[in-house]
Amino acid sequence: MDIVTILTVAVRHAGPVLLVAMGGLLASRVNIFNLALEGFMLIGAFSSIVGAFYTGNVWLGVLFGVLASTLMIIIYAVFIIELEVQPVVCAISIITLASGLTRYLLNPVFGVSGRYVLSSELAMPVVHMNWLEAIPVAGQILNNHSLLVYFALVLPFVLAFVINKTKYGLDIRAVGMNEEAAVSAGIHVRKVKYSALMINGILCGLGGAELALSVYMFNVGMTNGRGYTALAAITLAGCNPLLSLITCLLFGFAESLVVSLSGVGFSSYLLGMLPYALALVAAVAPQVARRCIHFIKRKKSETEMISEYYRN
Amino acid sequence: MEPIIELRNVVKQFPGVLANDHVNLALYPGETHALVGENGAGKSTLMKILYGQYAPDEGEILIDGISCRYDVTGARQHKIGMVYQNFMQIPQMSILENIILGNAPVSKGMIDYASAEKKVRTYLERFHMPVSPHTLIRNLSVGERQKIEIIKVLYFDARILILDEPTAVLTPQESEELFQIIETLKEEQRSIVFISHKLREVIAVGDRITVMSKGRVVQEGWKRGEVTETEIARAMIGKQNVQLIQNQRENTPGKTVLELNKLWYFDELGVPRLRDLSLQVRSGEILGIGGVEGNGQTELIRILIGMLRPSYGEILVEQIDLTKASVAKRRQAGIGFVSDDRMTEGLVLDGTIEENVIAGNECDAKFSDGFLLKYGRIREYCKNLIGDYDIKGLTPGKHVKMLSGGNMQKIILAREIERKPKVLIAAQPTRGLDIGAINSVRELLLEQRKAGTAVILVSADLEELMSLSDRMLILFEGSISGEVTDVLHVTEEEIGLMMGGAGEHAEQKSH
Repeated sequence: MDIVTILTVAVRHAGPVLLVAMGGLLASRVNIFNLALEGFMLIGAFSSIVGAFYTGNVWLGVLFGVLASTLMIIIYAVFIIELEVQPVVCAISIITLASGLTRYLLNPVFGVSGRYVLSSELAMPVVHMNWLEAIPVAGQILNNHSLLVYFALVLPFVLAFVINKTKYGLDIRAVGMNEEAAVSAGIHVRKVKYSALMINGILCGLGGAELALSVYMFNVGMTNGRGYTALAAITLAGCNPLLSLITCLLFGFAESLVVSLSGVGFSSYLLGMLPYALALVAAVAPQVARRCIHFIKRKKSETEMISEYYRN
Repeated sequence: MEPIIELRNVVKQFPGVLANDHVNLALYPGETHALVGENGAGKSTLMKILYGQYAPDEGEILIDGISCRYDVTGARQHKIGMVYQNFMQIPQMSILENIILGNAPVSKGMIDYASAEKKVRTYLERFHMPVSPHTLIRNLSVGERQKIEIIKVLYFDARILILDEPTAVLTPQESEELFQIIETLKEEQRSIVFISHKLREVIAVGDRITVMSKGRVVQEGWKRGEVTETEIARAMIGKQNVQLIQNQRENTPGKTVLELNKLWYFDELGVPRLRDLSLQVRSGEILGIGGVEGNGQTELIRILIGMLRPSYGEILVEQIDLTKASVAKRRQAGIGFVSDDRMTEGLVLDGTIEENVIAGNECDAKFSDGFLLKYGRIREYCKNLIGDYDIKGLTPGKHVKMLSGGNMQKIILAREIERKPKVLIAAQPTRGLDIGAINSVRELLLEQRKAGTAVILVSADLEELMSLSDRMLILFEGSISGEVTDVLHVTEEEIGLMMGGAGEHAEQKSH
């Protein structure tokens, strides 16, 4: 497999993760650590297949996925905002519910267990852009993806703009940094939190739909940790949308590498660890390095400050 | 003249407390209305009602004669602004963003930063602040943050400004500047509610003065010049006797017990919080440590009790080096500690009084046979302490959270004093207490002094420091900016200068 294919697949893999990550990023920005991204994404994936199956239209399937995961996140929001349930506890129940519900419903809806494959006409269509062919390598990598993947690639820029340049973004930052100060400034904190979570729900639905409809099937547990990957990506990027884009692409790359390397005889079990190992290294190594450098710098600046103090 | 805003028969009930009991208050255009009362008198609750944070259970609020109900957003639309004592600011954001929060001007879907910046700059100039609007709040001094807090409410053109204990964190000089700002605001026909429990300020600033006590208005609308400090004090506590106990300073201190040598402490961000701090405390001496809050007092205390490690320097108690000793080791070596946060650090609120008075000594042979606690003995011991320290409001076995602040403080003092400390560190020991309890605490500290303990009193209350200390050190930005050896003959102004860092390392003027 050549590098261009690996990179193309990397972008495709990064797409759904990116959508979910941007949702989680908004939640994090209003100080809700949404551990349940995995659950919302799974609901989105399952519902989009159900929607596409009943309507026979892939876009109505997407809509169905979005509605289901948004509905779910409203329940989550009511629990943590109104009833003040610990977000992590609530997240665990959402994840458990999502995994159980999708596994169970597969049987009454489709009469199968384990997985259901739609007809290939209901696959998420890819967009072919002729003008991209003129550009070597990059043009190839970026061509022939679904609309949702393109949307995912643009989204971080949109979010960066919204967060940094608009009033809504300022409200979001204020709520996340100091809720009390936001209340006293007359910001409707609950409205801001609900809206951020709603967008989170919509994006998880889109992420799930892209994941399932691009292969026009649903597989039990098919999100396979992508929600957590998304969470890791935004945490690693310090909730900066543009940095998150890079970390998500990195995860996509690792996953794509696994697919191509297992094709040439490497153990798929060992390779299965690759994205996670990469995430771990990516998350831990810079931290350790930063700490070390920070410590040395600090000691140096401290001794400088002290010696200067005594000189005067 | 018609009042701009009027509170009528406002009642607010919290579980177990009637915070506001049929309170009336009127505010006229262009006046400063001072609201005084002890902690827990209901001032803050009343102001939160005025600012829409709480809805009153009963009563009504009239704005320009019309009865209104509103939330915080509504209050701001009615041009009511609140200046908080613990600034409601976001340290990681810039001055500009903090000011426009909730009121950002929008053009074409984006925040119009340019026009906002222009407006903010004019305010910064007006308040003589030579800083860029893009400076992060966390890089400002407390005095500057106070001004930003006022600019925040002026930015949306508030006609009613509520200043909640605005001088609590300011030096006397900074307070003076604030009073001048208040004057200019009055000239613009803005009305100000000035909350304080410092009587001198209230007299200086208030056009009218209202006194609250236990949720009720006990004196409404005294006019400027009609009332003295003593009269206000009497109205506040409802008793004739307001005399606070003073240190008679009759015996001379003994040998040095605690010694700090060239202490440095750098915080997480690498900012020096303590610089080259050296001091000695002798037995039978109360060393008062003053300064504006946030100038190293907290770090000093935490380093003394062993909850923080100094970056450099050493701590000696009776010539024994305790710099690296654990909290427990230090306590064994004779350090006692009365925390400024009695609810979380000083006491276990859900514990019984028995558990609290033996905390830290529970392995002592007196209370334990090595495996089981000797509850009989402990109960006996506790009963004695309740008598000796005059702790009211409970019988053994009850949880301490039911107690008043004063009685909680007595439990802490009883525990620490019964351990016969060589050094007793008292941090804000009378904060939030009523006058009777303040006197009990002062008496206990003076008794310790007499018994030969080296007492370190860290307090934000200048009056308290000047009444109790044998000697005072003033902290400014983590180092000692002044020493007062003759406490009887120092003026508040001189101390104020030291608190502001002026005349660094200044000695007290001789009299």
